Amino acid sequence: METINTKMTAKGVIIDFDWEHNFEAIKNSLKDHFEEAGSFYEGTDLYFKVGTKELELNNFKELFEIAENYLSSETGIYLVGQEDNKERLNSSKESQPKREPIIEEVSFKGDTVLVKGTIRSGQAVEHPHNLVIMGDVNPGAEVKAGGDIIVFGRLMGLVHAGAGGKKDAQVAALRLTPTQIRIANKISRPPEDSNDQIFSPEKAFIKEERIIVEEIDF
Amino acid sequence: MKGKAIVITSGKGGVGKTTTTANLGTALAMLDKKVCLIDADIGLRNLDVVLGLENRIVYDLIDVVEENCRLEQAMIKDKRNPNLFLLPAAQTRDKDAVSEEQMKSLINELKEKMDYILVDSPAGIEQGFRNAIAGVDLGLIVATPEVSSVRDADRIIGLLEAEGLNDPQLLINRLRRDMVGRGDMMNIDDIVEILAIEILGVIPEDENIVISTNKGEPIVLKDKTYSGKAFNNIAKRLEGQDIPLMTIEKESLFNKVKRIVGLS
Repeated sequence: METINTKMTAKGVIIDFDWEHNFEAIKNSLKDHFEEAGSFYEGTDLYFKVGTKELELNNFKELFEIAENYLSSETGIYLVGQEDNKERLNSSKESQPKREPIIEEVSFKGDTVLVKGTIRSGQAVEHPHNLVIMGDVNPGAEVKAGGDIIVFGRLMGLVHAGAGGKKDAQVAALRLTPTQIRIANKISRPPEDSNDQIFSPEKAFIKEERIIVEEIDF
Repeated sequence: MKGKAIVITSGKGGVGKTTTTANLGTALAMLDKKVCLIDADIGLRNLDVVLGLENRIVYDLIDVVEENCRLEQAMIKDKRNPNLFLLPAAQTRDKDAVSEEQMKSLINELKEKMDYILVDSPAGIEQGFRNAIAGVDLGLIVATPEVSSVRDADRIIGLLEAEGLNDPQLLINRLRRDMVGRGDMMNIDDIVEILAIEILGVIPEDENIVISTNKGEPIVLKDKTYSGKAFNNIAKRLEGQDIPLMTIEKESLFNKVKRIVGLS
């Protein structure tokens, strides 16, 4: 199999990486591919299929940087996972059939991006749809999404969900103690001098034109 | 109204520029002056934290120069003093996001509304420093009694003079009178002799500063502390009052008794 495969769909172009090859080789063929493609990606969206591969944040950034060098800012770049990989994991490399059909089952509904690692002061993460952060968001950091934001960690920085005006957007975090919280066009900050230490996960949403924070019921 | 714009700068980092800006601004506001503090340390903003205003930031300096909002929208009113305003820096941008010309016109606009504009300069002598000194009338140099700090202060004085900002004034911060007494620390005269500029004030080393900075409450609100008093005196000197420097040398018990009974 090639290091990368491309496939057209109604939604855009899917680029499938074969992680059996080393990362340098994948990067090089991605570069070559964009060289060849020229202006082919104008006005279409690009989906990076990562499958079950656990991608380091740095590697993920490198791939994005390569793409950004060649593409105009209009082209959206998204990450896609893979729904069922048990079969692939169980089967040996030789006996493995073509993996092609799985692509049609990939869900584009959520367009959710997963970011791993701590977002530090001065760093900003932005995405037009939903965002999941696996790590802490430190004070001074900004997280902004068109849809929902979930932080699997402590949320201490500035967070803005539903940035395009989506009023039913929510923010959830294992520890929700942001500097400031914004949902759609509403802004709120936690009460000062409050000493209530809540250690359970909480979520924030708009109710009757105000931002409400409550514990998540499991 | 034609306000005075002052840059608080040092060259060296960690000498107390931000603490000085927050306290001097608060002290001037307590003298019923309208004061706007500008955090020019884009990308490493701290002034909002020291003032306890971090969670009120919606727009910042970059939003103003990029015309995403009006100047008044970005100015945060202090939660304790209605005369004090903060124009915060952007945290997710860098020093090149604003130009010297933009800073100049911003400061000119503020001069029409304020008595004082204090600009908190970043450490260093690069673009951030040049932005911070653009359009100001006076340079306040903060230096600690250390050779490295005084050396950097000297460099800054030269750079300010090259930009036409003559006669900067000196603030000596974190002076420890016990160490000066033992001869282990440079004293005021040593520093003034090297830098040869007018001294505006001396702030003693004070662990209360750390507490107040962490709480986001300026120390000048507590006039009982030495450092708080020092900042209040500096504000009064800026206002033209003649306040002598606080005696830093330890008073001998004999002199103290003499003073109390009114013999000296």
